[in-house]
Amino acid sequence: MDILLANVSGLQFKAERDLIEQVGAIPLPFYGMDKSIAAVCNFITRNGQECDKGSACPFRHIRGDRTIVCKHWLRGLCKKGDQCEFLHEYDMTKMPECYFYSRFNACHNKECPFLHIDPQSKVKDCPWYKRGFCRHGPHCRHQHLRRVLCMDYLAGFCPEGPSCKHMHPHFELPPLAELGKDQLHKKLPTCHYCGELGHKANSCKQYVGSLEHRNNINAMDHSGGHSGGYSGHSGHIEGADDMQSNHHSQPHGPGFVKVPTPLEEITCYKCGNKGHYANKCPKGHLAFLSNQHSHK
Amino acid sequence: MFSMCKQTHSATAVEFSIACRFFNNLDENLVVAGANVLKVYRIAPNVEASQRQKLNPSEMRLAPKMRLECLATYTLYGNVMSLQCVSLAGAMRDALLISFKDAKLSVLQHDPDTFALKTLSLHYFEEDDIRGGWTGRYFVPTVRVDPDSRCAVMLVYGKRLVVLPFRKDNSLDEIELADVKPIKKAPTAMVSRTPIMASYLIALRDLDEKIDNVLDIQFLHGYYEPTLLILYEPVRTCPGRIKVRSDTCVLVAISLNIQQRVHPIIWTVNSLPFDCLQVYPIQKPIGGCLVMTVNAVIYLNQSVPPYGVSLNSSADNSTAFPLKPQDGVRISLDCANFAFIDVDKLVISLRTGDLYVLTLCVDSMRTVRNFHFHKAAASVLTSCICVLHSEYIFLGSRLGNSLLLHFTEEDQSTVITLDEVEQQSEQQQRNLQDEDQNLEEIFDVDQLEMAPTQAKSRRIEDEELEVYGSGAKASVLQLRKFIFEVCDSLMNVAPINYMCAGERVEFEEDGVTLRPHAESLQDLKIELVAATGHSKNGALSVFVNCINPQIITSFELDGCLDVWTVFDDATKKSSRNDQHDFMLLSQRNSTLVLQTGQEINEIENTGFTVNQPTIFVGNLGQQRFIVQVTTRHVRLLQGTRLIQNVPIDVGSPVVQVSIADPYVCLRVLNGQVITLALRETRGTPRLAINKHTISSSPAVVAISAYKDLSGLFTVKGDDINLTGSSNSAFGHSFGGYMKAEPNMKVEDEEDLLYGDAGSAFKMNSMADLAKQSKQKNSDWWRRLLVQAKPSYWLVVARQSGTLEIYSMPDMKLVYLVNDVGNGSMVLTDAMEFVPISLTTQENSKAGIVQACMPQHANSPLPLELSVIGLGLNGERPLLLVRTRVELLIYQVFRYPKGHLKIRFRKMDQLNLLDQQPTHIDLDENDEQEEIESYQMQPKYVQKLRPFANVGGLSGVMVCGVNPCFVFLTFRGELRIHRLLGNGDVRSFAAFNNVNIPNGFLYFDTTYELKISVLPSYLSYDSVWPVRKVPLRCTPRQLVYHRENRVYCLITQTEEPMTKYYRFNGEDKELSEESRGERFIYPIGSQFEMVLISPETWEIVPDASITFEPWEHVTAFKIVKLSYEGTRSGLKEYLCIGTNFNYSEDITSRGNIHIYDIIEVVPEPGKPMTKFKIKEIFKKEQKGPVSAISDVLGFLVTGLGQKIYIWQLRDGDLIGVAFIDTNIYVHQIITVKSLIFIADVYKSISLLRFQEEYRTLSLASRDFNPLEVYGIEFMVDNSNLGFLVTDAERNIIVYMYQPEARESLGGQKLLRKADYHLGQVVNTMFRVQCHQKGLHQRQPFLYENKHFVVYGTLDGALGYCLPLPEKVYRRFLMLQNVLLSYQEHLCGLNPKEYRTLKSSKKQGINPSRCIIDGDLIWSYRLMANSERNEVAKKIGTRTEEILGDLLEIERLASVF
Repeated sequence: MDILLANVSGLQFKAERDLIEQVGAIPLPFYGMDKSIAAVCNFITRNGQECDKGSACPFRHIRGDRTIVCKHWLRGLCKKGDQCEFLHEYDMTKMPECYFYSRFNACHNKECPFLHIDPQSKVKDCPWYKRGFCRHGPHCRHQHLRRVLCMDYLAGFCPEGPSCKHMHPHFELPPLAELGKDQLHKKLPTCHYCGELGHKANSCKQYVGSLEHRNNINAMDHSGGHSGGYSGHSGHIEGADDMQSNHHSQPHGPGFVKVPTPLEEITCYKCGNKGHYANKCPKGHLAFLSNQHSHK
Repeated sequence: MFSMCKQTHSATAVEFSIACRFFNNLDENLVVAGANVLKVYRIAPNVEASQRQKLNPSEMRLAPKMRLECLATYTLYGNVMSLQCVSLAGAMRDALLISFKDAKLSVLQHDPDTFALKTLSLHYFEEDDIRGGWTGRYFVPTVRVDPDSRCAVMLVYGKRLVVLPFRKDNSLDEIELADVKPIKKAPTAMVSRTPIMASYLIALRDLDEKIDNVLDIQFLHGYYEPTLLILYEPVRTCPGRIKVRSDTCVLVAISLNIQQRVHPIIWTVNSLPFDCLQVYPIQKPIGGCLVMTVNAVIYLNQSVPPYGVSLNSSADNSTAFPLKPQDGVRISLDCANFAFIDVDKLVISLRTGDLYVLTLCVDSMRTVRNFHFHKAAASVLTSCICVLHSEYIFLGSRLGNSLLLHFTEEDQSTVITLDEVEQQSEQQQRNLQDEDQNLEEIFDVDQLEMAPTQAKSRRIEDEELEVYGSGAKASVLQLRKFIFEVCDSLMNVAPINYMCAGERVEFEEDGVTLRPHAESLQDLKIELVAATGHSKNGALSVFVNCINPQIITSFELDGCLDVWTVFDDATKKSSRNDQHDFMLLSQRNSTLVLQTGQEINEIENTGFTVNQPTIFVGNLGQQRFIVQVTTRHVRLLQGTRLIQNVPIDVGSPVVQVSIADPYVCLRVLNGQVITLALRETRGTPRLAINKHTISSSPAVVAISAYKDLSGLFTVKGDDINLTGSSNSAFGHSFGGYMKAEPNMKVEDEEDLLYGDAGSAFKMNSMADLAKQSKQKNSDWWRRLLVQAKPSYWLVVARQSGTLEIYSMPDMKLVYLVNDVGNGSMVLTDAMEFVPISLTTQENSKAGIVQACMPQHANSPLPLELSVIGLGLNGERPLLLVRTRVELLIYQVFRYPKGHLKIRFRKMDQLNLLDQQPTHIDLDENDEQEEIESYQMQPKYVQKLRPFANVGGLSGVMVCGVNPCFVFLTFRGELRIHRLLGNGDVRSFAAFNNVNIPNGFLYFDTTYELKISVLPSYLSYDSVWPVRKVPLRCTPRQLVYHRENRVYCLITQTEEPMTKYYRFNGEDKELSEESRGERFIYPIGSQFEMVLISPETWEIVPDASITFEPWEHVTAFKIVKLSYEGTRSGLKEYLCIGTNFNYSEDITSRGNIHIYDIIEVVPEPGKPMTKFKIKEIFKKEQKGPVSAISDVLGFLVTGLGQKIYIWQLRDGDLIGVAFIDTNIYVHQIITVKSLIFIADVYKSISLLRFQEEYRTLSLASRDFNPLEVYGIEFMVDNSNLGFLVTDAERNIIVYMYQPEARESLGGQKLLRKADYHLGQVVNTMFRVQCHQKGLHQRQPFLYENKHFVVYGTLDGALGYCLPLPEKVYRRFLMLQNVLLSYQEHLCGLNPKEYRTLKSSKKQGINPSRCIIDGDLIWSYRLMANSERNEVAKKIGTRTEEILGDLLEIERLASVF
């Protein structure tokens, strides 16, 4: 009835056009503000070229390389915005795997949002076994499926080809992992300072500040962003947390090259003395007492 | 965005009703108010004319069946908050006291000079110091009037009392009190005699520090000084806290000494139950008052101990006040209404609609000893009750039709001696005492000061019984039962819960097959279907605003100009005599005569002349004869036999004929008027030419003969004096039937004064007294039954623009109105003060005419006149004056001065032209082409065609390019309905036939004679033709499924439930509660979805969905989702969102249901069963599903605090995107990719869905809190506005303007326009402006604009329309001029009314920008000269403004 009575298909609304063209949008007052309810920026292109506002753009910049949904974002708690390594898109097929289901084969949460993948389907054929022999034997984590070898193939040629009902084993092992594929095609690096593609943070042009400044940003990212998130989680998804905490600590990794410090300059966090790390501290678990004492 | 808001259907809900002597002191009227509409009704006998002649009023013992007749309607620029009436000293009629928000009080009275409301005084208490700092809280300014009319009080801001003293008589003059200054300038002598004296304020805090939260105020009866009861709750509590704090209410009485302005507290009652609602004073001789609480009724009197009963078991736990359980009653007085029908009886209307009669059983001490409840009837859910003429009761309702009930005592009266009562009560008292002792213990712990007084009072009671006890035993108390019967009901379509537009069902000519769907907007004929009412008053209301006649057959008749239908001689006929027998069609030079029976055949060789064009055909002499008038002859026929042929040879053709049986008046083209009369001498009827004539210069341009049956047209003034008042309203003051006042027995009076010496005072003597007083006015209706003697009048209009009324047959000029075409509001007699000499006629009259020449020479000339008596028995005469552009409709009202004791007041004004001419030709160009032609010409065809019975209604058809029906039925309200056809109606005649019962004929633009009937299912006696389909359950949401032509409706039924869900740690568990017999259980709802076919408006059987118990439907819409699988495109599904709300401990969750309607082969014999509902999807969601919509083929739902977008794939919903929102999103609407959501407390937000990124994002929102009720888009070409209605009855338009600085780069929606509607709007929809018909104004200004139609909870409909800027500017100027140009009724300023109201302080100024359409439309009703003056002020022309108004009117009338 609306179609006849109040059709708007022939009309181009100014409000809609303004929204698409981002008319009047003012840049963010601070970098890294929460943009989780903002629209996706229309000026960011598929090949990753940023819009000219850069990280001050009030709209979200989406990159195509995220594959797993951010569980914090789902609850409205992810503060990393564009910097987040995980996918900010409501797609339940791309959720992380349920820790409990994958580990214990059972999940008691009726409304568990995480993926429950049948462990049977996850197990892959063991390439070594397929080749002929696996040294892990029954302890191998991959599937050992017994098959009949095709005698023709073994003899050199099987006329049936790939449709042969018998096994045609390859001698070559498959490339190391599917995971490694991404690393193999070396994609453009992302700057974790300005968020742009094409260079790393240590060669970032916008980066003029001191090391401390950057450390502060990172520290802020961590304490502000994730302490809240973690405490809110119910216990059983910690398996997934491990994974996530990985990626959140990653900004350290490519950020700057670690220069080994000589052992003499190392200060033990426990006792405050120099010359050893805290895990090697000879004073044991009461070390902090001596530390306090020394400060007095 | 410039826009305009206009109400097209006024509010029908009734909120206040009082009995009031509105027009004169003789007749009691009913004054009813709802929203901003005030209506005055009278109770009139519902007797048909035929029966009426047989009746002899003085012999009748019982009153005939009565009905309500509306006599006046007023629209105010403010909502009535409280309504009372008072009889002021020396006044001829009662004055109304109406209070308005925030603290305004207007005193109004009927003005007999203009038949309008006159404001007597205005009182305004909105200064900041009176407000006491309050800005936000909402207080009802309650008005109460002292029963002896000594003063009125109004409670303002809940903190202060305004006392408005009235002068009782002149003796009070000495007291030095400042008088209220009258509004109009008046001589000082007048000032000193104003009946209203200066008001003063009493701060409640000064009376007692603790007075706060006033619940009710009432005046007590029978005190020397006005005594006011104030019921209040100093420290509030609530049902959850009664264990801690209960019995918080207090009642105090203050005595108002108006002269000294002192007001001491004379009586205080503490510790009343916390749930007190109202207090009701009881008249003498019982005295005292009743305090109504939710669970109990308590009688209080100053001198005797209180007596209270509990009505259900909730009262046992909630209060420590001593209450007896009332046997056999389990009711709650929550939302109940009360009215005293007798000194000791009152009617209670409960929230369920049940009517109870509460009788106060009084003992010899005149104290209430017992209550008796009797369930009398079940009726409508009421909002107010009012007793009229002491035997009628009016039940006003917001939720259903208001009813007028007649109550009589049942004959078999159950006689209960007081002994029994006494015994019962004693027994109960004993029980109570035991209970009280228990209670006392509790008192000791809780409230120490309470217990001793209680004990003491009981002791006094016992003593009293001992002293007087024996006397009471002898008296007998009669408990009478009452029978209620419905007399009349007033149609009400409020509250409009939900509405939608649907197609009108149209059948092909064969009447069987439905017409296929219209494919374009121009062909679409829509109707407005609204879900209205509540609970058992629930109904579907189908509105249209133009009549689409049901055409039975049509045939082409070329060259026919006019058509008439006449009856054969009634005495000869065997068949039913109300069927038309002949149809005459006039062509240019000839006449066609057709006989109508089963078939319509042309007949020849009759007495009718066929070779001349006919001007008029009509029946004469009680339908025995037919008169045919041609341009040269008048022929009298009996059946087809010619009796007489009177040649009219005055050198000019006859052009107009008007008949008032037995007179035939002819107008000749050169301006003469010839009158003929039918005389029967010795059985031979003859037409005789009247020798009295009227002057023919200036030429007569229009005539109308009128037979008056109303008695209003009278030259005698004496009967007016007889009625005791000089200005009575309507024709019921002739020969007034007055009965001598029955003498009161002296003994009885003495009894009353001193009490009987020997025996105790008899109760039945009191009842007798009451009866006598009743008897005194029980014959009021006899006066209304007296027949008026018919009188005959000729109304003519002359070329000079005057209107004259002559008495027939002596042709004496009795009334003269100058310049009638000007259209002034009130037409008055120009000869009012000119004495008419009885002997001279012509000469002196010429002198008068010279003296009273028209003042406004440029007003349009009247072209046609018609005076007809409409209403029941023609009691409401209307004067219709047609000028070239307009039709003026006047009603006649009685006015004591002048020769003819009447005046005329304009009721409405109709536009007759299709398009407003750019310049009105005042000189009438067709003058020069006036050739003396004896041929029929189109301009001779009368445009005003009165009819007696079309579809059971009488009225007038106004032919022309804007054809419309004018009805005025026994309900007394003028109804104008447009006829929707293909344009022009050339001529019209009523036609009653075997095949076409009460139908009509008309010629449209093509020379086709259409024989049609009015669709019978509509009720035409309402503002819009409406059909109300009762459902007997609450209708909730409604959608129209166009593909299957079926309406889908969600209904809700309520019933008490004893089960509830309890949280038991892990899951919920159903448990049952039993609280005994007297406990009132809460109400549970059951929802259902039904299909309703518009062909029959019945529920389609076997195609409904019953929802689970506890499942509430919160959202219902037809959504367009992308097809599953391979097919592309969108498909419509029914989508329902529900919620289970068990208790606060259990998380509420809802379901999403998706259904499809499929058409199947119907069961044999049941054509309705062709629909089946197929479930596509149903699944429980994580939270309550609060709103539903669709966007780009995806489903949008509000789910808990989130909005989700889903995709329907493989019978499952797959989430696509979501966003967090505020508190509770209750409405979602979408346009393209934009989603507009309304939150319950947090105003509105605009969301945007990006399909390519699967992202739902917040585009913009309003930052201020706002309780949103309804949302809709305003579409004006490329501009998109967001229309919002809120809890404070405003309409606000927001826009997204990111360039604007204040919008913070588009984050904030900007408020661009606001308007106070005064009524709550829950539902709206959008319609594109389009033009129907051939005539188009170029260029089309309203292209691509959509107007929003809204329906309110008070039963009003209106629209909001975006205006082109030019029109807006013109209207804005016009509005500004009209604001100061017009009189403000009740002193209410329209601008103030339309200013945004908000309880919170807004940081921004009101932006207005919405034109008040109601105000602009009042321009149309103004007199021509005033219009020109206003137009000149704003520098435009009248025609421009009228053209704009006409175009908007045409756009909006799409239903």
